[in-house]
Amino acid sequence: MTQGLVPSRLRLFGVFVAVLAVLVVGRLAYLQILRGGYYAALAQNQAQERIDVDLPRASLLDRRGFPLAASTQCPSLYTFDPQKLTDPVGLARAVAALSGRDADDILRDLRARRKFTWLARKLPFQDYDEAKAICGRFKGCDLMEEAGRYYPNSTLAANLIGCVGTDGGLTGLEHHWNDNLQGGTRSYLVMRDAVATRLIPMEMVPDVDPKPVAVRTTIDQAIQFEAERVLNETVAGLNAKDGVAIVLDPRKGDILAMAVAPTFNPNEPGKSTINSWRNRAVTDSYEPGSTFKLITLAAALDSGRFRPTDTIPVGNGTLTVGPKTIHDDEPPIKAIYTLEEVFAHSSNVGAARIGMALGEDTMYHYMRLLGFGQPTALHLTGESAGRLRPPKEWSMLSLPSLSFGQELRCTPLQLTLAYAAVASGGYRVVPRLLPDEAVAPPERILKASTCEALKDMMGRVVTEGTGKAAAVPGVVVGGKTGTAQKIGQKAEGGRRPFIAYFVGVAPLEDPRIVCLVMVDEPVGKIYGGAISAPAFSKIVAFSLKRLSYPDRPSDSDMALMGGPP
Amino acid sequence: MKDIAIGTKPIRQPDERSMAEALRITLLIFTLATPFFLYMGLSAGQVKEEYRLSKLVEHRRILLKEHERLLLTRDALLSPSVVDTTAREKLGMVEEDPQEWTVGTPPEPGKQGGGAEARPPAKRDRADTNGSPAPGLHSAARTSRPAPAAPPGASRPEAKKAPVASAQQHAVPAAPKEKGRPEKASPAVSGASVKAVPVAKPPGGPARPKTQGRRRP
Repeated sequence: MTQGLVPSRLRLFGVFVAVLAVLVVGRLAYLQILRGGYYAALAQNQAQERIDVDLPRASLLDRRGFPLAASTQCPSLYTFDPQKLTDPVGLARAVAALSGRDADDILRDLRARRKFTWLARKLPFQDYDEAKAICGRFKGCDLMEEAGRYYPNSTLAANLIGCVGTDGGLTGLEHHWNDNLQGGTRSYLVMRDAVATRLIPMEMVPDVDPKPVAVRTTIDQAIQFEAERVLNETVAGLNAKDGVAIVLDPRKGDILAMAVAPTFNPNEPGKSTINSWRNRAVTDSYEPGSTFKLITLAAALDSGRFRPTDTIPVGNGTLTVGPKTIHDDEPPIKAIYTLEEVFAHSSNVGAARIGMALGEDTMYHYMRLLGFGQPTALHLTGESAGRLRPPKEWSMLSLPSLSFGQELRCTPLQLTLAYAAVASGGYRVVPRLLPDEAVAPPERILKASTCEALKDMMGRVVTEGTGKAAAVPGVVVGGKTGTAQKIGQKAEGGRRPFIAYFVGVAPLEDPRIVCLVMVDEPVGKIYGGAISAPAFSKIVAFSLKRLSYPDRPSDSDMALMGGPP
Repeated sequence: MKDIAIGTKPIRQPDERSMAEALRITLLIFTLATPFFLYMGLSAGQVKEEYRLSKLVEHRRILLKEHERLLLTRDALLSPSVVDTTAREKLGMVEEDPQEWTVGTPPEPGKQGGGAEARPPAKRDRADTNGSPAPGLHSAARTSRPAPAAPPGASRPEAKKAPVASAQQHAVPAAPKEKGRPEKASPAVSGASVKAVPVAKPPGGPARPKTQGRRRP
């Protein structure tokens, strides 16, 4: 009996052990084979960590390769254990002198904290040696380099370029091209110890960071500077609210300069208001005023309804439409003007009569054709489309008002592009900021004969019309003055709610430059011919020299003139 | 091994077999030790070289950073605003203005074009527009052959009727006219000329800064 039981118990035990073994092996197989990858990854995550380091942003260059924005390593000062500093007062004073922080604030931080403390972050790279000297003088203070952005030209083209924050571009091209400018990230695998202190294997840290790529823009540093200088002088001299100057090459659509006043220093964006960060050339829309008469005349000539020598009755310079009377700024010198004279003398009555004769659909068609009421091809951040209502929303007064540039708003860039289309002989000008970008295929929007006639008219504005101050010695220029009233807006600080414009083309026979100067709410003077035209003259004279105009004569021409070949 | 007895005390003699064994052991030790010491020596050299290399790499890294900083500093110093400020404030330079008259070098005796330096620095008449050069084209011809002075307030009758091109190519921008503001009548001045120097102080006129080649308006 007993002999029979023992084997059965043993057998049961054996079976139990066998089952247990199978379970253990099965569980092991489950953990090691089926879930092996998961647990391996879990273990790896506990011991290792992947950290991403931002690579330097790409530099922004002007068309000749001069830097507009560059990435750099900025020195930052810190201390690991503030309580062990031997001379915290001296250190606080030294850091305050270097960084501009309040010494008492620094000292308060040092006394209050027991762990890692920043003393000064992202100092200008020029302060590197001084920061290092502070680390040498005060034991416990260390230096760390952080990626930063530096604008070597300070305020130059600041509104166009923009600035960067911790997470990338904040405004301007820095924001618009953020994905392209960001150098990406480089990943490092680092080992962690039990207290999660990072231990970076030395062989995984690169000795030298890769050189960031550079993005070349169409901006010409010198023309931009001159445009800003002249614009700032004009705006400051008249205590105006703001101003814009644009210089554009109508042949390729290259934007050579885009100056905005007031501006800001992108190296210290925090010291200026966000209002001054705006690129008003594209984000703000204004009434174009008399400069819009070019579009009215373009519609008149291109539609075939008028010829340049056709006459328009202007009477005594007033025209009553419904409840409103339209006035010319100056009484006309005669009762009937030709189209050329309407443009040269900037007759509101003449333009209104032309617009009314053309009709709503024709006017609207040409306005849209020349780019009004829609954003430009640049599609910059915050770009405004302006305001152009469709004809069904127009009132009885809209058509005559639109004909001389009221009841609509456009950005300075839109207005410049409309003039550029005329300057280019009737082709749509697609603006571009990247010189390597393909030029858009030519698209004719106006007849060549229309543009020739309009260019002649623009020339007469400068020779005998309202824009005499825009003349550039030695160069034939043409353009249009404009003095737009800001309807329904009150100007502050003694300013007058007017916008003074001059938009012009130079040289007229072979346009290289289209330049717009706009001054918003000046004090005292209000007329575009008196405010913006002289600024235009200065900017264009400089720009043509910069662009080496006139070109050197060909060898055959030189030979004909008897000069060296 | 054979033992030799001296007296009663046997003296143990090394046999040839033991000598060979000792030699073998010595050779073995030498064979083992030589590569070890060789390895140790090479390792030490390698460590030394690696240390030197790491120092050089670190030095290179610092130099590259310094180079980058210097490039940025150079860019900042070459920025137009800095150049402009330096030119204006430190070097006393003024920008070229084609509307501005300048006083020429005193002509050598017997040569054409004298007297420009003795002329009072009256303002150029804005109406005197003919012959105004293009920007940057202050030619020597202007130095040697000053244009005759136009009478004050002289008008430019051809400008109104001439074709656009011809009228403008000789045009000097007129002063911006503001409504209600009478335009100043300015005296005429000759079109003479360039950059040069000893200039007679104008009677009653302001003294010219020594550093400036031209007078700012």
